[in-house]
Amino acid sequence: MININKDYDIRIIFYYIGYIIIGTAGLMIFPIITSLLYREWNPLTDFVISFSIAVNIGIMLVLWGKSSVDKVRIQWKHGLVIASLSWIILMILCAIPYRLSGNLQSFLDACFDVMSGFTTSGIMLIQDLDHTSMGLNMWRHLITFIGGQGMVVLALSFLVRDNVVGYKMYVGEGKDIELVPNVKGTAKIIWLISIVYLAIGTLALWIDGILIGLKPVTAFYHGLFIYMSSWSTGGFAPMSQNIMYYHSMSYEIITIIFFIIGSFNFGLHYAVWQGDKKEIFKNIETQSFFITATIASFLAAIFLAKSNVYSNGLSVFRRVIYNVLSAHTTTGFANVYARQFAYEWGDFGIFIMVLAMLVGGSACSTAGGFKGLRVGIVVKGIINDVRKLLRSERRISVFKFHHIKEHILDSNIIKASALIIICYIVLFIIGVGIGVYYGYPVSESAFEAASATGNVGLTIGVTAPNMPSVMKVYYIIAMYLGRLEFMSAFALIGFIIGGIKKKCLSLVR
Amino acid sequence: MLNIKKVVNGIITECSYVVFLMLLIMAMSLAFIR
Repeated sequence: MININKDYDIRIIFYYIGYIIIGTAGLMIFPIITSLLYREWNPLTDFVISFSIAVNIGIMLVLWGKSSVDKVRIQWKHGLVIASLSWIILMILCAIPYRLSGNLQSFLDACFDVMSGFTTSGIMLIQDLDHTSMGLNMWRHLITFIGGQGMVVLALSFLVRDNVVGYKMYVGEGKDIELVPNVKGTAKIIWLISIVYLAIGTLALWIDGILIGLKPVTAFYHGLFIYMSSWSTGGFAPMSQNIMYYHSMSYEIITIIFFIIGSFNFGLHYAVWQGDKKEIFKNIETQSFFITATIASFLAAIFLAKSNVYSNGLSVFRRVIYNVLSAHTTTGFANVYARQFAYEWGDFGIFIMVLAMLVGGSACSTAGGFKGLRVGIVVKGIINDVRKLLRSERRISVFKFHHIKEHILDSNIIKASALIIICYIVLFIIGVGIGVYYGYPVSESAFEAASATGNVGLTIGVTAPNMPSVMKVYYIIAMYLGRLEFMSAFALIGFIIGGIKKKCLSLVR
Repeated sequence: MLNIKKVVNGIITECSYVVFLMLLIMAMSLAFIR
């Protein structure tokens, strides 16, 4: 028998997960409306069925866990487990309309696409994308947009009242920045920033879509979908040719602007929106991104131009810089075909892309990867250690870095950053190993593993419905761990092992 | 909380930063290619 405290622990966890499920399931109203407007009766039925299942499960969990609310004091372990477990449950529930649509060959493929959406990755196994219903397309892009901000942030904004509980769940989702003293306020500001940019970005892409020849209604939906993918650094697009479908440089420029801005820290947006314009130049993350993005784009452009793959300025910008920045911000929009990376970019081009994908965007943003903040901290830590060695031994130096405010660069911060980077590298290496085991070339395995680990979404052609199931499962795990930044997922594993251990001990006694 | 004028200025600052970054990368790359 499960001990009574553990039982309450489980109930309180599922109580809050119930709210997160209800919040996310509520969003199915948008694809339902879209299906109604487009008179797509089959997708409409799929979404009504999925919505009913998810909401009923959510309500049952809330009712089941309600009795424990006053009996358990929420601790860090609860917050971390709520965040990590809710992502897994939501992956399963949100995959139902995917599977019912018939566009995916198995439920595992549907889960793969949902996790790719939630983690704002963008690699996909969906088939016949060009003929997918508008309702399902709305759902694909909506889960990317919600995933960028976080489902816990969504629930916190509208459903969860307790700030202390909320903060622990918020951290569990891989976010740590506090824009205002209470976490509900922070969650609302994150949404405000995203919605303001949603309006601007959709309008810009809508107008541009009409100018490049799309019909007004189609231009609006494409603008909305592409914007949601850009801002969330997601990489999904309504057409299988991705951003190439539009054959438009203006469309590409607009998406570059929004996916780079989307890869910035929400704390940075808030500081700049409050009038602190200098923050964008002083912040260690933007400095780090500025340096790494410039070097990566420059090296790739020089290499591919010298190799005569792309020889004029326009093709260098549209084919090289666009894709490198898309990789670096972990967006995943591509305006070359997947196999062109393998056949034209060469090992050096792939090497640059892998590094860019692994480094990624900013912490507490919609982007993935190690994050510029950690790279900046570790590099600054190394520089400062060298400086210390060169200075007089009697001199005591305090080193700082600027990220929204001044922080002292102590060894604990450097250690924590280095540990997360090591975890990412281990996850990446295992991914490469699995790819090589199944017969893919090392460079292609590395490209795809970096794309999954860094939540990027670019593909070199490895991700396909016929790839081995083990690789599909591993990429789901890599996307999930990469997005949640390991700690809450480790807490979930620890919680499950602890529960099993206690149950075994009680059985032995 | 947030002042609309400051928000608009903030959005312009962020967009300008990105455009500046793109132009810089483009200029550097073209300078070396030619």
